[in-house]
Amino acid sequence: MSVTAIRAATLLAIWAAWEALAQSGLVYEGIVPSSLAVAVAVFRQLSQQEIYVDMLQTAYEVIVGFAVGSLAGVSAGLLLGACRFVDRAAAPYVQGLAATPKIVFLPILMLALGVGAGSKIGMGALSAFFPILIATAEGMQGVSPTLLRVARSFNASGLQIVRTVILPSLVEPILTGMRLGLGVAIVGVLLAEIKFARAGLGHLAIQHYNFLRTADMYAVLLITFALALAANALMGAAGRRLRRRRL
Amino acid sequence: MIRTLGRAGTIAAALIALSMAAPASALDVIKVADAQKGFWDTAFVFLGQERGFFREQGIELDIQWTEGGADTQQAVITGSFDVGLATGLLGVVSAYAKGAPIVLLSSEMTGASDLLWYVRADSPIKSLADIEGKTIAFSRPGSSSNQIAAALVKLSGKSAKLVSTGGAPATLTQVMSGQIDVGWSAVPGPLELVGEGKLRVIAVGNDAPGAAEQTVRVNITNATMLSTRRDVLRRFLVAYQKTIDWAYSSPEVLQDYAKFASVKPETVELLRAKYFAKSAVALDRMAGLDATMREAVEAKRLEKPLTPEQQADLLKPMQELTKDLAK
Amino acid sequence: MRRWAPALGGAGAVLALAALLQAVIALGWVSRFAVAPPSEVIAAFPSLIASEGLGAAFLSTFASTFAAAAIAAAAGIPVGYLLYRFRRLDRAWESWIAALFSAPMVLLYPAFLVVFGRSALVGISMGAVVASIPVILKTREGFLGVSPVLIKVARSFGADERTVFAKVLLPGARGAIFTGLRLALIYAMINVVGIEFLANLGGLGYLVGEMFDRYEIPSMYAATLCVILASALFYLLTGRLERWLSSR
Repeated sequence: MSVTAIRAATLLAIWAAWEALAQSGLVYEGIVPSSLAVAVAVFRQLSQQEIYVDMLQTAYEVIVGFAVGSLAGVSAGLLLGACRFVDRAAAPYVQGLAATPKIVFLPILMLALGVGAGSKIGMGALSAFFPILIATAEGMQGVSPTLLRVARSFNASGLQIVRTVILPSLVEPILTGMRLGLGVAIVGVLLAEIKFARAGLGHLAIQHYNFLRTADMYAVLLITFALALAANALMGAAGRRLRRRRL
Repeated sequence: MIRTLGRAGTIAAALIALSMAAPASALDVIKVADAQKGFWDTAFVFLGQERGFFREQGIELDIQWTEGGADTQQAVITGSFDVGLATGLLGVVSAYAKGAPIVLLSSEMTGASDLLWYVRADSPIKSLADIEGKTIAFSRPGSSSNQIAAALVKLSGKSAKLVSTGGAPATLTQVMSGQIDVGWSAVPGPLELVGEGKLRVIAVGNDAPGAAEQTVRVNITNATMLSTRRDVLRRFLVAYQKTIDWAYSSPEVLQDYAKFASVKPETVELLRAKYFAKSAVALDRMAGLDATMREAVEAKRLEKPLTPEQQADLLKPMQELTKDLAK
Repeated sequence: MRRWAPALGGAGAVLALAALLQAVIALGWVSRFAVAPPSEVIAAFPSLIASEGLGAAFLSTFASTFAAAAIAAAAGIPVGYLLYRFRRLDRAWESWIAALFSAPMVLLYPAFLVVFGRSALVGISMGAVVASIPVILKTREGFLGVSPVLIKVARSFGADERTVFAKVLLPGARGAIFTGLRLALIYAMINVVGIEFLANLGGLGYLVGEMFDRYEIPSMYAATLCVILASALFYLLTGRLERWLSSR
């Protein structure tokens, strides 16, 4: 079987299982609507103004949060990477915090930044911060000592070394970290919107669920999934273009 | 800075949505967090705004609907919102006792004649006597439904689990899909489904001993608002009172509210006459505070009842701002 | 002494930060309703343990996390092996599975609530789904990393498929598989706590939210610290295990 055939068969099997569950009556009526109902709901959602406002809100929160988190993550990563002692001292705390579910910081963020978009941006920033920090720090440690020695033997200044040796070798790890960071930033923002918000895709999805408009809920989720995947792919493509330019 | 960025972004998104350019407003804007969209008493600000009563006072309301209790309260305490409506007194006294910058603005509901607890028609639960080991819903911690649900469970003498299920529509979804045994709501919410035989009411709020004489819901603001925009708060209450007077005397409110809440206009007559006596929604009434404090201590929300000095301090803003409102 | 210098430095920095926070809050520069003074946070622990069921919350979260990770392992390792074994399947599915990892799957929790009711099964099932992805990917990576030369040598000695799997593939992939299991534990916990928080289900996630809702800010910070400690513990202990395993 070719790869395409396998993929088609997989999608077909998933769809068949879904339809079977929807018609079976095994689960509470309505929680698994027929795929036709979901498709209709997707069109319905996309033809109304509401979801675009929410998309904009979520996108805004993700972009600003991701930007803040990236800046902070790269800066802190450079610091950790530059100073061995600080790195070893901070390592257990950084790793412990990185492994922590960021959602538990949402109440703290709400106290500090209010219950509006500020806390969602904060969640995005906090989520993106750690993968980017760790990737940058590891990238710093991966800078070739040979290159450094060569640069120094040419009497390169500190700034020149940073520009010509350190930064270029950081591009790859930082990009990888940022790709992961974007993914978790999106999830973080959506989670925060579920908890308390007046706009945003997470909020919209939960609103539909609260009123048992399950087909609309799945429609919003599908659209959100698609947007998240698109954002991820865009990030990956941007990374590839940057790599090609460097070469 | 993030907070400002956040606000800017929300406003930007909203502006893009309202692509018709609205004329720049010279009115004082109050950000209102109102609990439970669709109920009668929580609709006053919306209806009053539609009728222009708030504009008369030079005020424009920016209303966001919440799931009640802690959500409303935190929105105001964190400063994200200026005024919080229809939040439980239970939560307010608790936050006040901890020194939070929360300010009592006015009363909102005295008595629990509007609250009810229901089950699916096919549920084995017939009354409060059957709730042993079951799950009982309330909206959010600190809300009036929280306080009354606890009182009802105590009344039953059974051991049941109280679960926060959020707003009334969300609760209905959870009851119908079997996630929770007894749901909470308020009139007119489930009346239609009860009439169709899909739901059954097993208890009403005033079944709880003494609840009929307790102020269970209040309107709040924060210390910043009180110190910097006290005049606006007073004008807000003046417009609010006017709305209440209009709601209990005018015929137009039947259509306005029916449209807002998607109910029949006749239901409104029922609400006004039977479930929400005008005296119940009076803004300057504070009844049964001692009982509320006792319940708060029992629920571990207060270490001990407020001292007379604390009580006086808590009630002072409300007394001053609601003075001479109801003529 | 030099070995311990970084650890002491880190601990010292944390203590200094706490002291600074305490001072700054006492001076009124930071509101104690936004950041609880460290002294009050520590003072909140006794009541958190005694009357708020901190111990039970820990147990509940841990149990759900382990259950989710176990299911993820049981389902993920075979799938990872399948991807290694059947190259066409691998080319068809691998990129989808990798993409799924960044999908906000946690948004589906209302559906799981309806299917499983308000029980720990919601967290366990969602945690298992998300945690299985790193298991699948790392298992596949581990098997792919086994030198084909070793496999050829084993076969040339007449070893059958089962022997090759048990004596060559599995030992060779052991390291990567364990990394996958480690990631599974971490991501399972992240999801379990997330759902506990959003759906008021119980456990540590619920505790943090409940303290916030009741406006017990010091207790909220204390509960948050507990979550951090639990996560850090998982991470460090599994790291130790991993190093011990790879040294054998």
